[in-house]
Parts: sequence; C-alpha cells; structure tokens
Amino acid sequence: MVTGIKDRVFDWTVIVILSLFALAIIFPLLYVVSVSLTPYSEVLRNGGFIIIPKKLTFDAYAAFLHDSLIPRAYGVTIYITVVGTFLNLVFTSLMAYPLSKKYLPGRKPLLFFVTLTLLFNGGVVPTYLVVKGTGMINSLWALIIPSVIWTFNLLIVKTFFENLPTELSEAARIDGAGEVRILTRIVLPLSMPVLATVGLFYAVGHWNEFFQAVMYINDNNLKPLQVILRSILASALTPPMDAEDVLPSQSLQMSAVVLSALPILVVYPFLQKYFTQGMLLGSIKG
Amino acid sequence: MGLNTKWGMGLSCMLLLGTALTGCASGSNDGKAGGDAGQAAGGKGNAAPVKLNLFVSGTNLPAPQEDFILQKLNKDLNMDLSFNVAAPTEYEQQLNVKIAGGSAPDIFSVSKAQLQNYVKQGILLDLDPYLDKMPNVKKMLGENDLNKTRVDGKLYGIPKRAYLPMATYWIRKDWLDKLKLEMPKTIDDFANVVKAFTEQDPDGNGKRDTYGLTGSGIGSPDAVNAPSTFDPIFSAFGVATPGQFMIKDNQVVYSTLQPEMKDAIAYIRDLVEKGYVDPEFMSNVMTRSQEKVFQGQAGIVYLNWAEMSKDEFVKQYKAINPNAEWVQLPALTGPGGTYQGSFDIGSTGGRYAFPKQLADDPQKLDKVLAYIDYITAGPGSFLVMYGLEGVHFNFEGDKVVPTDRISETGYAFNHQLTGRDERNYLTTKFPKQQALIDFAAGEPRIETYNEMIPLPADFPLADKTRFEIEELTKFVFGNRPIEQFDDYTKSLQSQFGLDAYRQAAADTLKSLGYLK
Amino acid sequence: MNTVVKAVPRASRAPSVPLARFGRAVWKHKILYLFLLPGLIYYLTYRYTPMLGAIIAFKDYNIMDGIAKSPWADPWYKHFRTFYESPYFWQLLTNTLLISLYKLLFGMIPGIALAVLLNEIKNKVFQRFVQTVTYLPHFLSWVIIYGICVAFLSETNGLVNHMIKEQGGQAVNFLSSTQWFRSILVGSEIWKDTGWSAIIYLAAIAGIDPAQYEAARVDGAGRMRGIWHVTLPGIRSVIVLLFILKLGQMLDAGFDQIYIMYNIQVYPVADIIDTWVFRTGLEQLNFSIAAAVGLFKSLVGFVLVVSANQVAKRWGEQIW
Repeated sequence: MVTGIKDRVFDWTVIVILSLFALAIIFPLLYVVSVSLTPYSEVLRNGGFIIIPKKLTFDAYAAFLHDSLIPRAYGVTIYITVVGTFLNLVFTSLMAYPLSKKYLPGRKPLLFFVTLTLLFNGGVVPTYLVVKGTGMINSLWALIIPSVIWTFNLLIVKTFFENLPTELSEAARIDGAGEVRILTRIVLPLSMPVLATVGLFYAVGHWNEFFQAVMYINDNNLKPLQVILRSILASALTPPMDAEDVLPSQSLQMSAVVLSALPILVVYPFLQKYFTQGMLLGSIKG
Repeated sequence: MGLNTKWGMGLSCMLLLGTALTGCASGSNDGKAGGDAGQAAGGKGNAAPVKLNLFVSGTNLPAPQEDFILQKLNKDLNMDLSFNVAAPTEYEQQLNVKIAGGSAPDIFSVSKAQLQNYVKQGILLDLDPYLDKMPNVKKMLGENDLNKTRVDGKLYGIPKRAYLPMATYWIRKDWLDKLKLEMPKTIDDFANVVKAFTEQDPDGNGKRDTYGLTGSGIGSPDAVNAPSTFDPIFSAFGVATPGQFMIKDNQVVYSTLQPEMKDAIAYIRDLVEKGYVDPEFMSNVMTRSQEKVFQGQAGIVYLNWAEMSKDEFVKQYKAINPNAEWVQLPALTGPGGTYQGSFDIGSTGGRYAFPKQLADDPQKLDKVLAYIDYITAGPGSFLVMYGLEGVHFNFEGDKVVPTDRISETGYAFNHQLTGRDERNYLTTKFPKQQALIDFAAGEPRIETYNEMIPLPADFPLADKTRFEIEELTKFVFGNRPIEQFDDYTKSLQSQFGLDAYRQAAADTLKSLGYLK
Repeated sequence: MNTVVKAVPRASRAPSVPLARFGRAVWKHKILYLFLLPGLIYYLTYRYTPMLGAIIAFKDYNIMDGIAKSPWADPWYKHFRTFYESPYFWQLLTNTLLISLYKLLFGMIPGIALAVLLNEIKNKVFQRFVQTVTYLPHFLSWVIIYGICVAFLSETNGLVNHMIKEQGGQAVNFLSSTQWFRSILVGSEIWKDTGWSAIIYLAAIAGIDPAQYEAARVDGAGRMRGIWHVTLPGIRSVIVLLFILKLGQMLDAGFDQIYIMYNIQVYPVADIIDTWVFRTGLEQLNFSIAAAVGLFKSLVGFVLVVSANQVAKRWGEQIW
C-alpha cells in the first residue's frame, strides 16, 4: 500500500515535469506556425508577437507551392531519403557487425582507423575532386554514396551489437548457422530500436540534404527540397530593388520550416512503434 | 591527386556494384558528350550556335525554357548560353570547386577580394587588348566604372554600372506636426527632435515607449554602402562612417582616425546615454529596424527609399498606423558641413571576369565580348532591362512605356551584367517614387574609396574591423571613457598596420588619378 | 615421416609464426572480413583520400596549380602563425572551450533525463505525444530560433521584457549582454536538441532486458532505485560513447548557432575559433588559414578522444 502511494506520487511527478517541458517546446512552435499564417502587417501590429492567428493568409505558402520546381523537389528528396537510408543501413550494419566481434583479429586498428575520420577531414575542394573523380557530379548518387556511412552511427550500432545477449547467436552457431544467417535472422531483428534510431538519423540527414546538393548537383530537376526552398527564400531575403511585390521574409522563413518539417511530423508517429520492438523480442529469450 | 582520383573511381564503381554502375557510367558519358558538343560547335563555324557557360551570384532565375530574356539573347546572338546562378551565400564555394575541378565557367562574377586573389593566381584574362571590340562598354561605362575591375593598372573584368545613392534619414512627419516641431536642419535641431520623440509621447498612448532614432550598426565595413544608424551624423561632423578611406586636401585619410570622429562619437554617446536611441541598434539586422519604425517604435531611421516608399511597404505601415507619414529628411548641417552620409564611389553591384583559357578559343571569346557589349546599350540593353518589346514594353518615341506584363520581368536584374541606365530605368519602373529617388540621388555625400583599394598581403582585416567597431561601441554606450579616444586611435593605427593599408590606398588612388 | 615434414617448415618459418597464426585467424573469419570490405572501400575512397587535401595547411594554395603543385608556405607554419598571432587568439580559444564545456555538461544531461522519464510513463499516448513534440525543434534552423529568441527576449518589445516592465522592473538586454549570452546559447541548444538526443538513449533503454526490472522489484527496489540500478547502467555504454565522441568536437562549439546569434557587443564572450576563421576567410579568401586552423582543431580533438578512450578502458567501454 505504501509503495502504491509512492508509485503514484512518482508517476504524477514525472507527468508534471514532462508536461511542463512539452509546454515550453510547444509555445514557441505555435509562434512559428502562427507567424507563417498571419498577414505580416497584423504580426507587426501585435508587436511582432502572435500565438493564435486571428486573420489567416496562405500567401507565404503559396509563394513556395507556386514554384514549378517544388513538386519535383519533394520527389527528389523522398527518393534520396528512401533509397539513401536503405543503403545507409545496409552498409552500416554490414560493417558494424564484424567490428562488434571482440575476437576479430585487427579489430582495434580498424576501429581507430574509422574513428579518426570523425576528427580529420580534407575540406570542401578535395572532397569535391574525389566525388568528381568517381563520376557522380550531377547524379543523385552523389547525395548518397559519398556519405553512405556516418562514423557516429556506425559506432552506435557497433556498441549496440556488442551489448546484445550472445546466447541466441551461440545457439544458432551450434545449430550450424553461418554469419549471414546469424546477422539477418538474429542480430538485426533484435536490434530494431537502434536500427530505427540510426535510420531516423540518416533519413533526417537526407531530408535536410543541402550542402552536398549545392556542391554536386547543377541540374535544377535533380535539386532536393531544401535547396529549392532556400533559393526561394534567398530571393526574398535579398530582393532586387525593382521586384514588384516582396513577401515579408519572416513569414516566408516560418512557412519554409513548416513545409519541410510537416512530412516528418506526419511520418514519425508511424515509426515510433519500431523504437520499442526490440524489447519484446528480447524478452523471448528470457 | 590524379592517381588517387583514378583509384577512387575504380573503387567506387566496384563498391557500387549493380545499381550504381549506371551512375558512374552516365556521369562519364555526360562529361564526354559535353566535350564533343563543344568541339563540334567550334569546328563547324558560323552555323551552329556557340556554347557559352555563365555562372554568377544571383537569385530568383526562372528555368531556361521560361526565361524569355535568355531565349531572345540566344537567338539574337546565335549562341547557346547556359545561364546559371547560385545564391550569394554558396556562390563563392561553388565557383572555387568549379575552377579547382578544371571546369571554370566562361563568364563568372567575382567579389573585390576574389578579383584580387584570382589575378594573383593567374586565373583571369587581361581584357585591355579586347576593350576595343566592345564599343558599347567603352561608351556606357566611364573610367570611374572600369577602375573598379582594374588590378595593378590592368583591366581584368567588367563591372556593373554603379547604383545611385539611395539612403536618407526618414522622419515621421505626423509626429513632428503633433509635437509642433520644425524639420530639423542642424545636428542641434536633430538632438532636440529625438529628445522630443522619446519624451513627449508622440504616439499619444500615454506611455514612454518610443525612441527618437533607430537603425542598424555603426558603420559597416563589410557591406559597402549599407545604411547604418548614424551615417549622416558622422558626415555632418565632416567625416565618413567609421572604417572608410576618404580624400581630404588631396590626401587619403582613414575616417576613424580623424579628429572629427571623436566629436561625432561624443555627440552620439550623449544621445545614447539619454536614452533617445533604440538600445538595440547594434544588434538590429536590416529588416529589424524597418519593422521597428513600421510598428511606430521610433521616429527617425536611415534607410533606402525603396524600403520606405515602395507601395507594399507604405501599405504595411499604414495598416498598422493610418496616420503614419514618413518623409525624407534633407542633409543635416554640422560643424563639418552639410552631408547625407557617405558613399563609396568604388562600389558596384557586381564584377564579371573571364578565364585566361578563353583566349585559346577565339570564336568563343568573340562571342563572349559580343554578348557583353550587346547587353550594355541599344536593343540588347532594353531587352535585359524591360523584357520583350511589344510584350512587356513599347516605345513612344524614345520613351519606354511598360505594359501591364512588366511584372513578369522581376528576374531581369540577373541579366543586367553591365548594369543599366539607372535613372531612366527607375523612372520607368517607379514613376510614383521618382521625386524620392531623385532627392536621395541628389543629396550631398562624402565620397569614400574602399572598394577600389586592394588589401595589402596579410593585412588582418577581420581583427582590425572587430577591434575598431567593438571599441567604438564601448565609447558610444559609455562603457569606456571618451577621454581614452586618442589611445584608441593610436592602438588601432599601430596594432593592425593601418599605415600600410593607407599607403596602398594612396598608391592606388594616385595611379587611378583620384589624387593629384 | 610425419614428424620430419612438420619439423622442417616450423624451423624455417619460425619468425613468422605470429603472422601465420594471424593469417589463419583471418581465414577463419573470412566472412566477417567480407562484410567489412564495402565499408573499408568507402572509407578509403571518400574519407581518407580527401584527407590528403589537409596539406594545404602547409602550402600557399593556388586554385590553378592544385593541391599538389601549390608552393610550400614559407615558413611552413606561416598559416598557423597567422592564427596564433591574432590579438584575439587566447580569447577565441577560451570562448570555444568554455561554450563547448557548458554544452557538453548541460547538453547531455537533459537528454538522458528526458529519455529516462519517458521510459517511466505507462500511458503510451502521452509518452508518444511528449516524444514527438520534444523532438520537433530539431528541425528548426538557427535563423528561425534566433527569430523566436528575439520575439521573446528583445529589449524593446520582447514578451519577457514586456512582463518585466509591467511588473515595474528594468528591461534586460538579454541578446547583447555579455552576462546572458552564453546562457542563451546553451538554453536555446537545450530547447532545440534535448528531444532529439533523447531518441538514442530511448533506443538504448529499449535494449534493456525487462527481466532486470523484475529482479530489482523482487529485491524491493523502488522506481528511483530501478532507474539508478537498472536503467542508467543499461545505457552506460551509449553515454560513454557519446561523451567520448563529443570530446572530439570540443573546439567546434556550434558555428551556425553562434554566427547567427552573436553581435559585436557580445564578441568578448561569444567569438569562437570558427567564427573568426569565417570572418577572416570571407575577407581574405585564404583556404590555407582555414585548413591550418582545421588541422589544429583536429589535433586537439584527437588528443582528447585518445585520452578519453584510455580512461574508458577502465570500465571496458572503450571505442577501440
């Protein structure tokens, strides 16, 4: 009985703390959405501050959606996100798995070799020359292959693989399963939470792809969403003097955020179940 | 690098196996196709349009098939110009990788620093031998213009013709009327007006929530001719905004080191101390001060006519306060004369350069020169200013009359590489604002020359600028006693090697004929 | 017969026996090495080949000549000296380290705390709601976040100062005060990335065997003790890993954020190595200075990561 009350006090404390935190996040987010939807003079009249829009306008959104490149740009971004993330996960798990085996000869130097790339890099021009040398300029592969493994994600996956219970793999090995079978049938299913997490990191990276696209893609039809959004924004931020009607930069900036974050917001809840799936599978062995 | 690149290419094709092989293959095919086409055009002579590749910093360009200006240019000149722009923030890096990767564009824009740097590295074509092939350029661009792209006396590029000066102090006329004040004429009047705007509740809401003056920054050495809060105050004291080279008695002098600077700073410090100036003026970015005056937070601001008088902006501030009436304030008189700020006569909206290799392909070079010349005067210049005749504008005698489709030419500025006939252009596009434009252009200003002066090697410009502005800010906000101002100018001069910079300025301006 | 055959090679190849053993071990795990191959090729091609470009730190880089043919700098440390001789060198270094340190300490803890607390929530709908909301700010750029900061914190018309003034207080210039600026940097980063960084800890928590909580409960442990004895130890490897990796970025401190949020009044507390490099490079177009400073930052990061890895070995949580 005593523990029951203590438990409930604990539960409510947690709920209160989290609710306050969520509120601190939502309040400024509402401001972003409202500014994007309110006529600019109305925003200014309110001293630049609006939480609930009273008058609505979709001008800022229209400015983006009217651009003929936008639908294609969404397509490009979805393509590199889906294909890219898939390849990222394949390459990353394939490399992380052997590196998680403490008995593998040469493992330490390899890990050192990999970690070094987090610290040293060659800069923009040499990287460009390599990408050009591998024939990827103006190809969507330039947005996928040159960063197909992020060292940070590789190390995370490797750490998770190390912490997996070994009993199941050992049992399978005794039954005569090879490494391929162990990886695909046992290790990967058990690692759903970390694969979902790392996959999310990769996917968001592709979704926000900007710098590589600017450097490697010249063809307008192959430019991803962020590049197009930002170029529309840039023309609003530095309007030529003779531009007829300039949309307020603030409203445009805010609506660009909403346009690029909305799809992620919609997809995320569907992904969430994978974040905890490993736990259920893990409990089977117990 | 070569070896590694090949090694990398082989590896990558191996690595990508099935799927990506297409990527590798198509990549290399593209390269070849481009090369072949280029050669073919070169060999066949006049029949095939000459392929040109242009890359400039710009925004808002429509797709080639929708760009009617580009299509007409290509037709008129029998060329196949590929016109590419990159946003200013990424332009420099993209240009660098293109040059480093061996695919320098035939025409590209450069900043002042890039121009100097590329000349030093031997990348650019010396245009002096070819200037005679561009009669329109010779006619329309004066020596003052061409000096902007000269390095060590040689012409390495074509500049855009200068814009007219646009900034003035703007003042709330309705506030003046309400408080029964005259338009300020001297800096003493000005001090009284900002005091009244702060203390006498000009918006009549019973609260002390207004400031006399707002703006952004205190001199802006990185952004040429960008209006900053106190420009006209400095000039009324007879000195240009901090960080500028000016000519005084046939000598090049540096504005911050002038004795008048101390007086100007003391005057400004007094206004700031008494609370007449928006305390955030050092952190306001450009649109922020515009927002603030539209909201009625301050009664005076130094901005371009475009930001205060274009229809959409008037609509904005009228929507917030229907009584608001903003007017231009004529130049203030102070101990140093009557000036409306300073203006860098070396400034330009762009500099365009050409790679040295262009001279190896005479046909291509001629086409580039013909193109640059075509857009500078005559039919080509009308095309890049107003669009297609009969569609976007018509001639009535000599006068250009825009049709209602003129708004489709909003991206035309991208095509105006050599600039435009500014006064006629603005008159045509902004008939309503013409008086304001003429007023701003006609105001007396102190001339400055920074944009013509090459930076001495290893001059620590970033550190100098930081020290200069950081300490000035301290003086203005009363965080450093004004008595130490002479110590400040001494360390500014000695610590950063300003004398070498000033010497470079003197040499350059002498060779260009601005000093006798 | 048998003994002779065995004995001869052993005698003649005696020094290379460890190599032979290594070779046999490699052969035994050939499938694992095959797994490694694509990754290794990737690393060699796209990560190590460009690293050769870092030698421009010791050269006077000329775009036309390329990296290999550009002349060597004279003296070789010329570009390092430009950085070291800046009057602001020590201030830049101190600012960078302090801001990084604050972000390291105050940045990691909220993420861990959020993940642990989310894990204690039994109501799945509430849990998912909080998680979704808190991770959203990660998608806002710093420009937008600075816009939010101005709306809330501006001295003349920010919401917070409105409230202060209505209470009869004196307006505070949060965004251009040397006293407040670093707190705002750290605070806005917490706001932006706490939810995002919690994701990875949540994944780690999901990997903990639920049986361990049962065992703790049977032993009479309360919820707090469950967190202390099961949850936190369960995610220790991830915490240590992230900590070590973040140490490697100690000289970064967050260029995008600071470049957008700072102004000249807060330079003494906000100007960092990267903002200095950017301003210097912008005006002088000097790739070599950027490369030299980059190399310096990498070396410091290298020392920190190697030492931290050494320390982590004590708990068996080292990276290599």
